[in-house]
Amino acid sequence: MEPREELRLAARHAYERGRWRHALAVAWPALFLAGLSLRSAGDLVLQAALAVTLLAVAVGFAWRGGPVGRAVRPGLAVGLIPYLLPPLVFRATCGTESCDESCLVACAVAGGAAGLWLAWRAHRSEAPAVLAAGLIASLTASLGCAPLGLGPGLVAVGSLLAAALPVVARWRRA
Amino acid sequence: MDARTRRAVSQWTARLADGDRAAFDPLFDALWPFVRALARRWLSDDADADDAAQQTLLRVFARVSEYDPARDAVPWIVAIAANECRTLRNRRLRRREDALPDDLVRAEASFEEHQLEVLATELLTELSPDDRAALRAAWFGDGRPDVAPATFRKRVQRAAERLRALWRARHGTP
Repeated sequence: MEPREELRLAARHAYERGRWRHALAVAWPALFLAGLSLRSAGDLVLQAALAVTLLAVAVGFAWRGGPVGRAVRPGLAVGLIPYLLPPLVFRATCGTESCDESCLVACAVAGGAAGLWLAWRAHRSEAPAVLAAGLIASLTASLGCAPLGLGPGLVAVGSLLAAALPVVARWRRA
Repeated sequence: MDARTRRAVSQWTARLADGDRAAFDPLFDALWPFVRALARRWLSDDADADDAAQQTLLRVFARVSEYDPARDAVPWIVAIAANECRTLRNRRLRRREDALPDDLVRAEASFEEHQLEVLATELLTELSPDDRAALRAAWFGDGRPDVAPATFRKRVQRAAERLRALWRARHGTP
């Protein structure tokens, strides 16, 4: 191989190593959220699977860059609402009769609020960014509700998508 | 580097920072002759200059994901090149100092000091007459103006800042 082509290859490797460092710097909140969720009670296998998936998606998107890379932090921010609210409700109502129902409602409400926030951000973003942010937000939301059970996790994600999709679709048509 | 190429380099750098790999080859092809010419201007030895240019290119591509697209890319690249040339030169000097007899080391240090004085004197001519007078008065006690000490200190401080800015623009960060 010619010296200049060797240098080009070395520079390309240096660039990709830099992209991985950048990806970890962008996606580190996902690592923090995933680690925190594994300390909660509940189905550890399910939570571990969701945590690993969130990490892989966040780091992978940040490494890729472009619209999906730019969607990582916004997606994590949107997912924080259903990640944080239901466990707080659970702590407040745990041991009472309304525990299960309150947590389910909290997952639905938090998921819906996150979905509306995602939809509000979506009208300024490209489609790949919206989808990427939606995926990351859904995974983060499910991490927050999964310790309460599979049902609450699905409710959180379902509410998020149900709130976001119609609004996003209307904006896209306009 | 002409203005058109400079703009293209900034655009390719910004795209690469965002993860657009298609910008890698045009940026590499534009930068290699540029950083090589810079290094050959700063280092007397062609082999050393090529080493420094290669290290510069690798460092630019490793760090490009951290690059702020709001800034002009060329000064950022020039600063990295200046740093690599300085590091290489210092490393070579330290090796030679270990091998050289003391009086030769002293002669070389005094030559370098003289070179720095010549460069600094050149830059002094680019300062305004007031700045030059302030610095001459502060360094050589030559014609100190009849103003309050605090005012004089302020003038000297500003003149020194302007001289440092000129040095950075011309010779990079020391």
